[in-house]
Amino acid sequence: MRFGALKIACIYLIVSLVWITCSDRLLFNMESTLTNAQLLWIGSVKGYFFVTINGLFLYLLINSDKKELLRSEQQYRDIYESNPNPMWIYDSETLQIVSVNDAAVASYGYSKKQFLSKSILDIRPAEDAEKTKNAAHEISDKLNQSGRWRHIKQNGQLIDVNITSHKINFSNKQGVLVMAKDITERVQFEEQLEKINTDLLIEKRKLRETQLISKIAGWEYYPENNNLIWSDELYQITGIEKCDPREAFDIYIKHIYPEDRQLMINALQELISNNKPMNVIHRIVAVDGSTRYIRQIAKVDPSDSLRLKILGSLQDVTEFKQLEEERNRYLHSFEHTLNSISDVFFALDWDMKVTRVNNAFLSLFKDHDHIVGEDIFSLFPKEKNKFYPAYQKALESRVIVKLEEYSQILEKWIRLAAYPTDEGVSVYFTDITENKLKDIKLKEAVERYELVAQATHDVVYDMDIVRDHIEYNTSLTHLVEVSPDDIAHNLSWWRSLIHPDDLAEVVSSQEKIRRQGSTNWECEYRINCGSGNYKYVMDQGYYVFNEKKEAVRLIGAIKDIDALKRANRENVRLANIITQVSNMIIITDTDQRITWVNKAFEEMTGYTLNEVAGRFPMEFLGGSGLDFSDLEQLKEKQRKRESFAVDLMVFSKTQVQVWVSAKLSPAYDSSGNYTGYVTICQDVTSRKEKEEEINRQNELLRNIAWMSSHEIRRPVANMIGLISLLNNRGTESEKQEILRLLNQCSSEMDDMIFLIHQKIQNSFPAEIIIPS
Amino acid sequence: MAFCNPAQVLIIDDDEINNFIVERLIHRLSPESEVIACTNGAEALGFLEKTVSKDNSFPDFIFLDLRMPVLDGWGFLDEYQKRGFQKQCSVIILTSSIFRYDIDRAHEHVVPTQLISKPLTLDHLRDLFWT
Repeated sequence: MRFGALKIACIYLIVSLVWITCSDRLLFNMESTLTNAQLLWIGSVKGYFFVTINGLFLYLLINSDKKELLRSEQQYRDIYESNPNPMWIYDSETLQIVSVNDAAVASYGYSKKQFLSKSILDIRPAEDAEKTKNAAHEISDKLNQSGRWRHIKQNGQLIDVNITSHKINFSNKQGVLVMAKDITERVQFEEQLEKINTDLLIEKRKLRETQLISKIAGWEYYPENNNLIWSDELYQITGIEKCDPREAFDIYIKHIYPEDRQLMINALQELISNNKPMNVIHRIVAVDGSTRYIRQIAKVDPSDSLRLKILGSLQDVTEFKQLEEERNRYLHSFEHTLNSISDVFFALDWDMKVTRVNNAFLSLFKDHDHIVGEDIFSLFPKEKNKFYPAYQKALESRVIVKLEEYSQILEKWIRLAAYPTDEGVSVYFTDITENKLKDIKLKEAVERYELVAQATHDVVYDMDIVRDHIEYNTSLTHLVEVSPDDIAHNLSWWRSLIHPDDLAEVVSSQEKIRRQGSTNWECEYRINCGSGNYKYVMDQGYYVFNEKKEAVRLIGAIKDIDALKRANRENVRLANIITQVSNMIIITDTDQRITWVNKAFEEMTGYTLNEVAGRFPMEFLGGSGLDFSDLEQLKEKQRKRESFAVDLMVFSKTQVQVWVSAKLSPAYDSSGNYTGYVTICQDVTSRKEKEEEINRQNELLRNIAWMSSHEIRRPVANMIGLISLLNNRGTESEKQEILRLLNQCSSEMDDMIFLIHQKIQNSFPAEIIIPS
Repeated sequence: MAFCNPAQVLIIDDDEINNFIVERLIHRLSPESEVIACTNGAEALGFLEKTVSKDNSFPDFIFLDLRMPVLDGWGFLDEYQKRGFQKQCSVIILTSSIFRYDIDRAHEHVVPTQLISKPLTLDHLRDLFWT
């Protein structure tokens, strides 16, 4: 409890006055009973007592007041520190923040220390600095509502705050206490609200413009007092002045075409009486005298329960009406066109029901009474309807689908086109059976031609003689090394390829045929297939003549017969070689029986082909020089169809021995089938004889060499040994003995040489050659 | 190395001149050596059997010719191997043959220690006796 200085002073005054008055009165009353000394003492004691009591009392009062002051101060500090709103105090002169509460720290994100290092300018955008200084300068002593300011948080976020401030004395300096209330969300909300309002206004304007463009306007009608209220747009659309004093309802009824007036009134009556929404179109005579079509749509406003209120809209649909009429005219024309075309037409809705057909379609289904509205599958059963996927695709994918197919139902080839429409799909089809059959035949003919062309590799050509134009098939580039671009489609180009030696014959043979009026021409000639490489070709053509019997076309085929020609030449050459060759040639079949022998065989053996045909060669040639195992090996090789060579001795018809070297090779036909063996025999009799002679000489040489090694060398070695003994020390008798033995050795050697000479002479009695 | 002196030498050759040369050369080198000559393989085998059974002695060297009547050098070698005569004895083929076939065959046979092409010389003998 605080007393305050005045209260304390008053209490002190009253108590002092009461004490002085009362104690002095009491002392006065006691004056009679007391001495002066006693009176003086009591008076002094009274004075001391009074002063003491007063001192004590003052101390208690002041102490109590001080405590009260401190508590009060703490309360205010708590109000400041714990205030949920951010608060701070700044120095009025320096604008430096000198104190800040917890809410400011929490809300702004700056620490207390950071706050105290900033001025109030530091927590604002730089552009607000001047404004802030002015505001701080103008702070009054009363409560200042500074309004909306922008502050910057520690994280850089800009916030909107509402500032309340008050001047205070803080730490003996002039300061300002500031309370900031974050109103960012409120500001944002206000801004959003403002934007919505702006948008709404724009939308409203747009709607108004749209209404004017589409010529729609609203009205309200109150039947109880026949009050029709028009919107501004309605006045604008109708051209009626807003200031017209007449009742709007009357004005409007008057403008309606007389023929349509009752329709409108009836519809309005139905709406009023039976709450049936109104939707009518009527004509009016506009202010400018023109006829306009107006659609009226109206219904009862259920929100107004007090009185019947009708809300309606009016639309000038003159243009739509005109378009509709145009469309109807077009539809009529379309219908007419559809019925006049030979193509079959029908339209389907989204459920595949027929919505429209033309006469051509009706003629297909003469027996059906009701076609429109029928399911298409009742007319064309789904299981047989190959065109169904086309309808389905056009319907679902909204694309044009075209198809050619054979219809089992109509038993015709159909070319069909399905077009997606708003209502579903429109289908047109044509009977193309006749064309299709022609196409198929043509396609088959072309395919056949192409297959034949591919199979033969012949160059097929078609020459238009009048236009001098030749068309070739692709085989030309196989025959002649020419790129398709370099082919000149005229006769002179083709003739430039013909060998100069053959050209005259080609030209003359063609002219001959044309003169005769014959159709078939053929000629063999050579053509330049590139790089001067000529090939033989057989050109066979067919001439087509016009009514004047002039050749106008030549169709032909050129066959590459080069290989055949060369093969023929090669065959002739080979036949000559085989006939002229000196080696015997025997051709046997798969049973090893002779089928053919050449002239050399006939000459060497004395047997003719007729004599040996069908016989086994060994049966009459009596081959020898082979042992049994050799024969078995040869038979095995023949079984395996291997090529092999063998030397053997055969006998001619006159039993003359002939050594032959036979080379046997299996033969195969062009299909790779084994046909037998071809045996080529060379007469090697003289070679064989020489071989035998050489063998004999070799044997003799071996014998002489052996004798030289053993028989001659023995006495020679002995002589060498004896001579070496003779050269060394020895007795005279021993030397005599050695000389005797030497003599014996030389005698043995002489015998041996004689023996060798004898042997050679026995072997080659007439062929001793004396070296020169 | 030791010089084999006196040595017992067996010559198997039907060529008496050769036997004469070999004997003389041996005696010149080692006069105390004993030289016995047989003229074919069969005779030599008989001699060897006899001398082994008699006093269990065996020649130190056998000079063997290849071409001989009755039993030639190859036959002797096969028999010699078959009968298992002691192996300390050096069997030397002494032949006048210079045929490659004979030389190769001699090298392939286990019994002969070497082949000397005739004539035998003192140098050959020195090499043999200094073993």
